[in-house]
Amino acid sequence: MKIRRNDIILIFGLLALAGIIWTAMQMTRQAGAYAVVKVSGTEVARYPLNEKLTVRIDGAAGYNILVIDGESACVSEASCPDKLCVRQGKIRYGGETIVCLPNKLVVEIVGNEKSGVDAVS
Amino acid sequence: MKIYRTALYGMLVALAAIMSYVELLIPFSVGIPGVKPGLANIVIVFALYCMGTRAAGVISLVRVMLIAATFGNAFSFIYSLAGAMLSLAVMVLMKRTGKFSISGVSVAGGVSHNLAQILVAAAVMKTGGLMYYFPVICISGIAAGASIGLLAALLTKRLGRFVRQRV
Repeated sequence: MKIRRNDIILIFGLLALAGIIWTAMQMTRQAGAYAVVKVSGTEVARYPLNEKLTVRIDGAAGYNILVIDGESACVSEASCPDKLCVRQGKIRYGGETIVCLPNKLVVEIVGNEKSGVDAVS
Repeated sequence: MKIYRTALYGMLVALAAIMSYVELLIPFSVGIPGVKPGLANIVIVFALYCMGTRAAGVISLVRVMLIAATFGNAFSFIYSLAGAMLSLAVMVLMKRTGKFSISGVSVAGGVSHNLAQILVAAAVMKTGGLMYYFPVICISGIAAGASIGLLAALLTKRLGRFVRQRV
């Protein structure tokens, strides 16, 4: 099987797309202010990131332990079989998320209510 | 030669299912749900190139149902099905253009497989923020797709002539 030119174009195109999106995300990321906790799509709690706390969240199929350490949030323990949520590590910037699919849990970092525009008329 | 086709499909479905099972055993992950090597796709791509679209579709579908029934639940079934169907559709389209090699088609399949799973996850969790994972999806889809494609191409070359019938 030969590598055709279109393959290279495809791969580089996708890499470029991924790179552009990643760079755009890095440049527009805001410092996080709150960790918003949603179970099955509805918000159940919102914790400011500048506090230190540990809280247990009961999701669809079990529980997750959310830890906020004053500047970031992470899931330290969970009842799900994969523990992917625990392995995600800490999140702190706006838009970052930790997801636990079995428990239908999403922890998303939200910045302050200011958006990119200062005024809209 | 219906018996031949049944036996062949059965064998390939079993093979694809075993690949999926092995993947489940090895905790391969980068922390993002749904990202995996996609070993079962070796069989799917092989079927696509040696036996045709319908064979690949049937084998893929039956494999998804089998794994979901034995090791999955309702949710993993939806994710798996979405990934398999979208990636197959994309691969069939790419193959039809005739402009890509097996690896290229497989890369497109890998990326679209991950993309479908993230889209389903975003819909289920009602969160748009999951698009944050898009760059990772691309990279892992490319890596997995390219390797899977290479293996499938080798298999096609060596085993294709024993199977190459539009069954």
